[in-house]
Amino acid sequence: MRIRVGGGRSTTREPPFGWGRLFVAVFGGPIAWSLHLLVSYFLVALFCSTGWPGLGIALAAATALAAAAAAGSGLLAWRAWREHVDGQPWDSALSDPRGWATGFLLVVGMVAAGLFLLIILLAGLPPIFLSGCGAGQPLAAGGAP
Amino acid sequence: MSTAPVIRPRDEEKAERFRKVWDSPRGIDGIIREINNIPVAHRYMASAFSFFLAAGLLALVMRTQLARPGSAVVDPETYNQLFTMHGTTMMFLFVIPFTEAVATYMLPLMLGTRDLPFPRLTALSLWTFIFGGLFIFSSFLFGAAPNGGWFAYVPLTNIEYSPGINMDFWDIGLSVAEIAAMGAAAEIMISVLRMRAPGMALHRIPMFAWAMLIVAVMIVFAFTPLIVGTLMLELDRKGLTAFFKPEAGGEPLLWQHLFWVFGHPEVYIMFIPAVGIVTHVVQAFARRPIVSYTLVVLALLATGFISFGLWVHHMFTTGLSPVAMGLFVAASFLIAIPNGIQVFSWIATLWTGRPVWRTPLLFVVGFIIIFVAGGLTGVMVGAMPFDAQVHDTYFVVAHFHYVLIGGVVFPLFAGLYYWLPKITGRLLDERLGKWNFWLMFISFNVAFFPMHVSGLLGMPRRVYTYPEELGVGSLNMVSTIGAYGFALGVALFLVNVVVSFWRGRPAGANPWDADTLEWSETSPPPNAQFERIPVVRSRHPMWEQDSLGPVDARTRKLLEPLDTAPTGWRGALVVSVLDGRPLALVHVPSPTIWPFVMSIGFVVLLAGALLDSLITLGVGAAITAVSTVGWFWPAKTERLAIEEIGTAAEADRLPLAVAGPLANGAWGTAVLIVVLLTALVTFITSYFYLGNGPFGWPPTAPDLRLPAIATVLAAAVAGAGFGLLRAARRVERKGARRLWTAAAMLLSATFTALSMVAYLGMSVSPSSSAYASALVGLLGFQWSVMVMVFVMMGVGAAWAWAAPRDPRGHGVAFNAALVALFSAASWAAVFVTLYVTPRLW
Repeated sequence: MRIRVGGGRSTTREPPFGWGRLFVAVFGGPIAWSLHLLVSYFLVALFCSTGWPGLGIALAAATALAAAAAAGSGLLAWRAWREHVDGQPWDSALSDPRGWATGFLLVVGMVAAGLFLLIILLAGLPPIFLSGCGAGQPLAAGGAP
Repeated sequence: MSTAPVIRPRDEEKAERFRKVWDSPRGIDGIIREINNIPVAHRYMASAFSFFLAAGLLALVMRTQLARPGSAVVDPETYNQLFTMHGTTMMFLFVIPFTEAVATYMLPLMLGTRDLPFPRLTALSLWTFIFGGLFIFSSFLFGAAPNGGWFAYVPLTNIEYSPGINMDFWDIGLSVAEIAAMGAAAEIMISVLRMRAPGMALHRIPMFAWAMLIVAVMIVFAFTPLIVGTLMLELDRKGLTAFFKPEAGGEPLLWQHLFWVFGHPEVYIMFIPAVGIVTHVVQAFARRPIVSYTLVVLALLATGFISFGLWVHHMFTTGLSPVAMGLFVAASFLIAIPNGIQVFSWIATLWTGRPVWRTPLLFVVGFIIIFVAGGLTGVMVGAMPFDAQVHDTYFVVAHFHYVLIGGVVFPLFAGLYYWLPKITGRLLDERLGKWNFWLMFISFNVAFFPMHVSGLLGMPRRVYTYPEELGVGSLNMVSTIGAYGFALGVALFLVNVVVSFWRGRPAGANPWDADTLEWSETSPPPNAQFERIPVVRSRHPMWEQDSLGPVDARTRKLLEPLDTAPTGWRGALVVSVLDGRPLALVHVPSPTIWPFVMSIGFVVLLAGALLDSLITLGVGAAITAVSTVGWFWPAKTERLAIEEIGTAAEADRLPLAVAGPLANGAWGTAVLIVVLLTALVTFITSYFYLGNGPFGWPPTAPDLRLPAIATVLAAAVAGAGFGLLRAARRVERKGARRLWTAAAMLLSATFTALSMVAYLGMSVSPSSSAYASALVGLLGFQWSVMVMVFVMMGVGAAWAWAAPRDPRGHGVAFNAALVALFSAASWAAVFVTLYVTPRLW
């Protein structure tokens, strides 16, 4: 959205780059974690109901992919910060770039990426210690014949 | 720190007219026509708090029964009703509505605007909530209160094991309370994103606004699966479907998944607003900004996300695969990280500030102590082996009361002591407040700490008594004494409030010397709230700004139409999402009777569903339809507003937003689409879960011919929607608007008819098998969406023919077009699920 500011003399974009990029930069980490959880859950259901081998490897691959995605979103946030926010005037009373919600969101995105990267890696640990489908029932015990 | 002065208007006569526009409607009908956020929030808070008291009384009866082993104060059936209603009421009729009511009151004040974006929806939420709550409680009159536990597990709640209408009351009443909560959530979301003071960029909004924004998004994603689940349960109970019936291929565990996918986020939906409240109290009484605002916002965001990945930890004893459960153990442990960030931030703020130990801060400290204890037992029960031992014992009861009373009730009391002076204009008594706090804090621990021990000793929850030999008699007596002490603490609070009404000292605008915008207004604030729109340049405007007026000439000129104005209609400002730059003016609806009438329609519909009475259902539908027409009837004041301001943007002059992406209506439609999308995903996931997806269900793939034609029609609906979207952006394209609207109506009707014929051709009865139930669930959803498209397009058509040049009609068309596009996308997903995937395997 293009918005006129400063008495109509100049224009500035909000955000200074695309909404899609901002979205990935802020929510990329949490979304990677959500997908990691859902995909891992599905993989357990799939491998345990079919009896296929290699559940551990599949889960490790999912963890690696999700971790890479979270790290990638953090990198994206950092690069957007470098490109558009770093060096802008700061408001000392607020410890934030003046008038820049985008800068704030990018910082949130960077930290979120780190936090969720950690969470993804930790969530990837159980399959290393718990192997197989165990004594439990298959996850989706529906109307399969 | 200086208190920013409130700018008084110069033109008193104009100001008088301005206030009159915002005045509450008078007369008896004024009570039901009221829609302004402040009076509506008064009623919302009062009714939700009444439900809190009622649920507390139910708990006291339970504690009396449990005080001694083998006592017979109540019989087992009554006890079942008591614990079901206690939990249900506290969750659905107290905590969520009460926090939403506080937000309804406080958010416009804190954000520097004049009302919520959809005041009629505020009123609808209020009445629907009150009637839905009374509906559930009316079951006591018939001796048929819900008795299957607040999480209503099947098969216990199937009709075979819970005959009678007890659980129907729960199912139906709850859906209505949830719809009210979703309405309020949509308002809160759009309010925080768009209706703020100019300059209030996202990094300057008050923490409570952040908290409510995140909670509102969570409500949309969490409540929708529950509404779908309760619908399935009710249909099962009426014998129409077999979602949860194993004998027909259904799956009781599906209910647990649907319930807890709502139920765990629910815990954080209740807790996150508390984080917002606590942050404000800590800031105000430590006399300094919160330590690391950014990290606290991050923590809220992370909590919101992670809370959706914990639900399986309620199902550790259901026999799921240990590897799958391990994933959820990890998430359950890790949510302690963001919660830890918040707690350390508050401690650091108090540590480095100059704390003033008034009652609100005492409640906050009590909260921190109790909540941390509850969090620690939470990590304990998050571990599978430990959980297997204490599952369904009083240890769990102790844990979640530490989390919920500590994490929600104490912060709410802190918030009440903090904000009631703003709401009533009078200070509460400090000495009574301290007695209130200490009584509640000590007796809480007396009541609930022993439950950890009785749980470890093997006392199960939800059983109406226990044998003496279990050795938990004295522990239970102590718990009961604590519970009565806690009730006394709550009674002291009520005494304090009543006394302050008569004898309380006047609060003044800012009794705590606090930092956010609500303290710039008089206590109590007028309905219009801000006669002039404040301009924000700081996160703590009352501490860091000398003036709340605009500093530059251009902003002053932009905001001029809102200086004690408009005087003929209710007007407010919308700003850009990120940086809070002024974008447009909006018209805020005037008092109207229709939200009240519509909620009556809902209640009659409920009664019809409960009693299986087609006549009652018909009357309810008729009332709802009439009120819908009344609701959307073009308002004259809006017409005046358009004539006064105009809808075209000009240099240094804000337009009036009535249509398209600038208008709040389009944002509301976007929220509706997200709700529909969540419901669709819930239905599809349930389908695959029941049918075990790739593993052999259904036996034969359904016929493809008619559904394929329906797909072409759905694509055509999308085409019409797309055409309409383009046509709706320009007022002069009235011909195209009519054409596309008519096409969309015709196509959506044909689609629905054809798809119904295709279904009837399959001749399956939805109650015969879980497959047929899941099939009908998905098709029924799709038909509902198409009917919605038809109705919205119908409203658009009425506009297009009656007032082709009225820009408001373009808004209606734009919103209908958005839903039309969604309907096609939704059919694509349904089509692939029902007709394509069976052919893949």
